[in-house]
Amino acid sequence: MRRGGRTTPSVVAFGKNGDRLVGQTALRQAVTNSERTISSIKREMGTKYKVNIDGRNYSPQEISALILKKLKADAEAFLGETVSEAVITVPAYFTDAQRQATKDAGRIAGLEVQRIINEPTAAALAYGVDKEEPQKVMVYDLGGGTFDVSILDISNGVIEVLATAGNNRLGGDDFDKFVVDYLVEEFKREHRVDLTSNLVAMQRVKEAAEKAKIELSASTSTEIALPYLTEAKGSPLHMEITLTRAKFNELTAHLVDATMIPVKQALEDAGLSAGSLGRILLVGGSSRIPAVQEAVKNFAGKEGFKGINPDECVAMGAALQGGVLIGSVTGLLLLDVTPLSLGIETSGGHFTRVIDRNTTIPISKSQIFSTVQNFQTNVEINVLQGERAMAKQNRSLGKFKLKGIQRAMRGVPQIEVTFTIDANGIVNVSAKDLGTGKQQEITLTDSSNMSDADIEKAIRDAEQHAAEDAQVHLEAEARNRTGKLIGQAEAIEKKSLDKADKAKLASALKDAKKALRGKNNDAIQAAGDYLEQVLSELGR
Amino acid sequence: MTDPYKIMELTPSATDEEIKQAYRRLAKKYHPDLNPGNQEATDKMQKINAAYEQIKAMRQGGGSAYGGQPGGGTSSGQQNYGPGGNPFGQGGNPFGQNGNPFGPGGNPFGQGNPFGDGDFYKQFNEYFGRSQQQQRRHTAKSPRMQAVFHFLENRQYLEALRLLSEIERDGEWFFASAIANAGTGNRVTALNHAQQAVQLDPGNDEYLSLLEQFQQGSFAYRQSGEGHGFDMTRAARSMMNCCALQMVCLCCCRPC
Repeated sequence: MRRGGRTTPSVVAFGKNGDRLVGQTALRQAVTNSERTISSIKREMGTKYKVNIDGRNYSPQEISALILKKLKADAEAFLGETVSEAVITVPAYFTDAQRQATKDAGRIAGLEVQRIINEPTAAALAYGVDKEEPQKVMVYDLGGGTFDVSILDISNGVIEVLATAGNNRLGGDDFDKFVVDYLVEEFKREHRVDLTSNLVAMQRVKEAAEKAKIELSASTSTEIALPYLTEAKGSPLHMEITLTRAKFNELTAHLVDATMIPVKQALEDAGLSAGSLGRILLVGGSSRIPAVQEAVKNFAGKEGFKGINPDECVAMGAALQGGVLIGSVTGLLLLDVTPLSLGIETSGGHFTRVIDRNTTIPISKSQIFSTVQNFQTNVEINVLQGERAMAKQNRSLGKFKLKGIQRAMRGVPQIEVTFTIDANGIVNVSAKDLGTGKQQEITLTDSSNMSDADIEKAIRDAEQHAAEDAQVHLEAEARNRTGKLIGQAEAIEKKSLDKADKAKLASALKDAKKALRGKNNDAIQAAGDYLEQVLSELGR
Repeated sequence: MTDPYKIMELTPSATDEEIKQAYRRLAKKYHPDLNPGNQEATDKMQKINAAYEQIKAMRQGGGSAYGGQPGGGTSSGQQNYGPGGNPFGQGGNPFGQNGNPFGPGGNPFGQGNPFGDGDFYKQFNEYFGRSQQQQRRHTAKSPRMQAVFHFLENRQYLEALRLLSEIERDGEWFFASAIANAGTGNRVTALNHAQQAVQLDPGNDEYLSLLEQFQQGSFAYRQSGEGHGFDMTRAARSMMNCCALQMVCLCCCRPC
């Protein structure tokens, strides 16, 4: 925003000199610094993925926090006041681990995350569909890295999510990838050179592929021209390929088809037919692709609605929800759902659900379980999230033990397992032996998620880095100021001055120049101060 | 199990639209977004959502959204009031489907003991589940009775009892009531009603077998329950489950 753009690309880069770049500046140097540039970190949230830079491992939370910090700083510069709380949107299909990680990223960036809301719901808010007549709405949200579809039932200011489905690893980036593969293949066919090992060339091809994709939304054919892409036998090679929309559609048809699977599932879960949808909202930059719009139209029998800039409507919705939370927006209520079923592992490695997917949150639900062996005194509770029948096919959110169960025949002890999901979609599980009243509870901290200590450390690191940044900034400022003063002094020196003044000025100038050659910030500052004083005396 | 209709400030006769209206009215009142920092409101909203889910699940015919799951504690019954549709013969039976943690088929005693396969854990309700599965061949006389049996199959015993209270009593009624009472842990009434069902219709094998199961089950319980620190006041429900286990064992051995 500081640079005037309405969006900040979620790109982070570590410069060669150790400074951290975020947003447009990071994106611009991506070609020359591709191995130290990170994009699409959102895809890695809640996983064990680590980015190794100069021997230090950064978790996805920390990388995200850098972006959030930048946004926070930009917003503060724009508003002229401190920003301390935030509403963050996530893909509706995010798991508990991913939401937890998002919340942690906010904390590291110094933001208190008031609410995590689902992107399709936020988009619906931005469209103002709550102002229209009561109807059922489908939000088709194809973003850069994720795909979400939500079915909403809207009436009188209440937005109730009926069902949500999606694919966490399907988005615009995949469309780019298939175009890149095609271009690389074509290049190889023509020049017999494989580009895949040439990182800089690949980065250029990637950028060109994305640009071509965007252009093909408006025109039916585009030129990909990359001069001096690489060299072979001492002569430069250029890429010159024409990509038609038809070819692009052919390359990416399977991706468009793949979006229809969650669409069908969400409709089925909501118990609706495509015909009963009053409106279809297209959200996310990739929903601009004509083939995508065509597919939606074919499926639903009506044109998708795309009134607002798809890149921005999610942010606008989040702002509205923030307004609801602080009470400045009234008459609006979001009733969101949990996207994935929750349960525990039971005998034989099976997954037994306690809360079904698409249950409205916040919710608390219990189920009673028992032991499988005689005189068993403790049980391990493996909390799972997913839709598959077997425990190991689903994602484990964490495990905990309930000990000291009263000795009894198998099947006799009653262990009540309670799942609670808060309004952010974050899960808490407790187990209680109804016989002894013993209770054990966890807020899920999967190994990929960060412990409180980790977060504290990350916050300290981030603050320390902020302090370093501030120091650098201060130094640069002092140098600038002293430099300017030297310029002024040199101009005055040429004028006719009395001897004493001239000597004074010359000595101050000499000190200042000497200080500037050194690295002592205090000395630079002091020399600058003195020079300024001398100059002001002369001016009198 | 608390009555979901009571939480929603409704009666079971409410229409779907009334339920939706009530839900939205309550949500507007108690949702944490509109009551920041109010834990009481959050707890209330959690209950409202659970109740709403439960009612929706009970009223939902067929198995679209819920077909793939094992009928869990509170939420997952399916109801089919539609004429002619025998709920036991349809796909709505959660135990016959992939949602059942124990897979298809379902006679655990016939195909390897599921208790012995190494995991610590076992869901209690499975006992009930399978016992109901044995009764799936029961063909109800009226659509309302079908609904009752559907509730029973999904272990929505309170729902079944509520519905039963509106139906005239005959042999079948007592039979259903016996199962429902057994399900809620009311063993005495269960036994009484099983006896009455047999008295009213002595020729019915189904009723007779249920009574026998209850009687023999309780005997079996007394034999095996000794010395396990098991007393009625403290764990009436546990006992019921234990009893049901016996019932299942007997059930499976019988060629019913």
